[in-house]
Amino acid sequence: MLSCKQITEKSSAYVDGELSLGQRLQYRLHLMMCHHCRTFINNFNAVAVMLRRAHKAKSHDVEVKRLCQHISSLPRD
Amino acid sequence: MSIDTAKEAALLPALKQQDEQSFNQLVGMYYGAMIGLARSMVGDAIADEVVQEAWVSVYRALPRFEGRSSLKTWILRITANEARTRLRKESRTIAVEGLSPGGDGVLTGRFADDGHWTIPPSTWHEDSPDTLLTSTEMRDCIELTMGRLPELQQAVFVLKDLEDYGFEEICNILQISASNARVLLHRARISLFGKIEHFQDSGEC
Ligand SMILES: [Zn+2]
Repeated sequence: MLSCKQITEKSSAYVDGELSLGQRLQYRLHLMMCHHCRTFINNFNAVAVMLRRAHKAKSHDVEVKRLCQHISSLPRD
Repeated sequence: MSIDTAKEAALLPALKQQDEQSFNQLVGMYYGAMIGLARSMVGDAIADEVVQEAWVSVYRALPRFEGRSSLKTWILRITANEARTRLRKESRTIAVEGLSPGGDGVLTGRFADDGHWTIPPSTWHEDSPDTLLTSTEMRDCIELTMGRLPELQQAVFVLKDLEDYGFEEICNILQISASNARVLLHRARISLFGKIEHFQDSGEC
């Protein structure tokens, strides 16, 4: 039986799909029975989703343009 | 074939001739990933310079690109190398942290001896990631926390969770072992989790 502490320690392995089938079932069983750990894993998952949204929303148009100008000013081989 | 792979394949012949337009297109495609990686390794202040130097290296090396990895992986690896070179010049190094036990940092002290929660996770006010991110303070706080993570933790997090790389490619780009990559990623995620939870509970960073 996994403890709540172990649930947090194995959370990355769980969300990355790296647990064996048996471990995965044990993990799911704990989540079914423990609402604290369900809250934990939901929040843990939300972190990556949030940061990814923020990351993708950034525009780099200005920097890209500047960089292209710099590169085109370089001497050709 | 992913969209990026298809685009890369279409651009490659012209790129190898150092065609400027194709190269500008390439910069547009991968600048975001490169600056994210560079910031994670050298910090905001010199990340721009590192990316610029990396693009110059990419431009010069393109005619010799052999296609053993995807172009994007190759470019990110050059970026990581450029970042390391830069750190060496400034006598800073990136340490792969020792894999000490109990590295789950922010969660230490939240469990009883039997492994049950003593300070259980709080339910976040908003459960959708979209609404969570609407506050500027929250976004600033996350950026700040990201910036304070040890360099390789940030780098692995950026590559895995923001750029969708698999562990094999991450190890190739950063030249670390897969087991290190996994530990670093978990620590980064747990630290970010802890910070967001703290922000949710207290409204402060
Ligand atoms: Zn539990």
